[in-house]
Amino acid sequence: MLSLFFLPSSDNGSTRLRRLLVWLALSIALIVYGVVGRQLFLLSTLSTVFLYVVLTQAWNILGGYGGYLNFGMVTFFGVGAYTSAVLFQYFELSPFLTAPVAGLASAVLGVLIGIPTLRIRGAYFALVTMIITFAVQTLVLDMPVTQGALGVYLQPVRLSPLGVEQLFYFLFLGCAVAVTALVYAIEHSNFGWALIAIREDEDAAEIVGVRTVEVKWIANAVAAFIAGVVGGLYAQRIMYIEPSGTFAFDISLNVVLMAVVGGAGTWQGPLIGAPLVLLVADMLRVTVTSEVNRAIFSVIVILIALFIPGGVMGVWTRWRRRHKPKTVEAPS
Amino acid sequence: MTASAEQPLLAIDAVGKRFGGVIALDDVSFSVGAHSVVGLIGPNGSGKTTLLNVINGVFAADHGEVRLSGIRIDRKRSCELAATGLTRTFQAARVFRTLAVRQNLFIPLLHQSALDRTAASARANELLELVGLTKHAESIASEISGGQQRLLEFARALVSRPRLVLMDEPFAGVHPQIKTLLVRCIRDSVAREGTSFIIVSHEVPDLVAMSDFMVCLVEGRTAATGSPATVIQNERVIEGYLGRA
Ligand SMILES: Nc1ncnc2c1ncn2[C@@H]1O[C@H](COP(=O)(O)OP(=O)(O)O)[C@@H](O)[C@H]1O
Ligand SMILES: [Mg+2]
Repeated sequence: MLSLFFLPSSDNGSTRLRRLLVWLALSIALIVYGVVGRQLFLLSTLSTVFLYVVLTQAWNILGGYGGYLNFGMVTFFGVGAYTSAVLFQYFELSPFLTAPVAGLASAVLGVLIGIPTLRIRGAYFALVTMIITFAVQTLVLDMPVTQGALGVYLQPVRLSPLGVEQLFYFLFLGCAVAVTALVYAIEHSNFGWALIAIREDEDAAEIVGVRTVEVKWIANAVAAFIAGVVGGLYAQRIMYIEPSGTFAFDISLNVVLMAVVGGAGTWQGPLIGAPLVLLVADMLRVTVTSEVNRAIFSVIVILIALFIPGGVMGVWTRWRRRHKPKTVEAPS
Repeated sequence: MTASAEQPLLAIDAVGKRFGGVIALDDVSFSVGAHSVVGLIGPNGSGKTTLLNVINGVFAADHGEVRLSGIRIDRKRSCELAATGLTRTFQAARVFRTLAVRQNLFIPLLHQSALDRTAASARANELLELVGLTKHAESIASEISGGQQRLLEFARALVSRPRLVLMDEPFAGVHPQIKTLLVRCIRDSVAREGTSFIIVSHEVPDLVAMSDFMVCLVEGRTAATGSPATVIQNERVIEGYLGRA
């Protein structure tokens, strides 16, 4: 189903290459900084950006391309975090080893949740995914194995403070690059086009042969897997997890905002949206100290969603289409 | 019937469907032969759209059977039916709005394992040419006119070389020029590719002219089936649908 590069791209090869080189240069700069950088705060902030890039790219698969707005990404993230934490608690397995298991646990949950929810379209889907987060959070609070509100402690990594920051910096950077590459591949694959068709008109997609149910399931399971893996790593990074912080609705909301601001349904969107949203949120936190900052933040985002369709990437694409010479039309 | 007696392309046998208290289809039976056009007429609410929905797997029939080349299809999903060569257009054109016109035509080809990129492009170009949208190939689908969207939807249905296409009121509200073009395209694909069509329309004279066979539904029942000439002269059809001149 994921046969690649089936559809001819509208860009010609050289512009595509040039644009890829920009991102490549950025990645190299980030790698260099990871090696030479000594500011713990900046390393840690960038790690958070990378973590959000991963989550937002994962969200992007079903949400951006498929148009199913999951407002409960944190469910998969949290289940991944708890899976690794609990495996450490009872079997002393390091989250670095169990992160893939955490991903699988989330993927299984994703498939199960998908059965009832992926039949629901539009705003109800968003609502249901949100409710599921609260349901899972409540479950985690009540189950003995997760130790309820007490939370679970993990063991610190035996490295210098700088070493720890560098470790997670590179782990999350690696995940962000890998997941972005995956999303890029999806965008250019039959699978990605099937998702886009579902977003545009699900009934029409089904009628021209898109196996809509399977496509949505796979997209959801892959997203859940990715979120679960970084959830497991995140548990190790913060070394203590408890239900309210791990399943915070803020995380789900941030992910959606980052995708929408950057440009949902494009592989570049999360790369732009994640740092931008975190930056704006931080600036607001510093300048507007009261709780009002969250409200201002939401208003900004709603305005972007309403008046800048396609986010930053949408603006860029429209600008480019207006300024590039018309494609040569076939003589008629 | 237009079909060879032993096995029609599509056989609808005693199909019934109700929505709560409403009986939308009541024992509907007829068949569609290979490379032929079946005109489906009837007053509003007589069950025409419901019948198309049942044939193409949107709704399951309450009872009765639908067979495509002898194989039961009434419990199959629309996407499976697309793979076996059954597709449709909608009462209001439904295109993939943010995709380019050309890209719209690729979606049905994604699932054809045998087709490669070059062949897909060639096929898409062929259909763009057929419906006269070559000039708009790179336009965004939502930016072309309503009539052009209908042509695009039609091309999208044909791009995968289906055996049977269901069309729900393709001529409603379209410019006469586009209607003429659509009719010509339908004739063309019957003649050249052997495609069959079931066409729902209130434009009875046009339908009479292009159909090999006609069916009239009134209140969910088959009021008449047969050649266009006999159907439009049928008492029950005049009574229930056409009215007396
Ligand atoms: N999804 C549905 N739910 C409930 N009733 C429906 C549905 N679709 C059609 N109907 C009812 O079935 C009857 C036939 O409708 P329809 O097939 O749309 O007629 P037509 O296309 O011939 O105008 C109508 O009474 C209509 O209200
Ligand atoms: Mg109708």
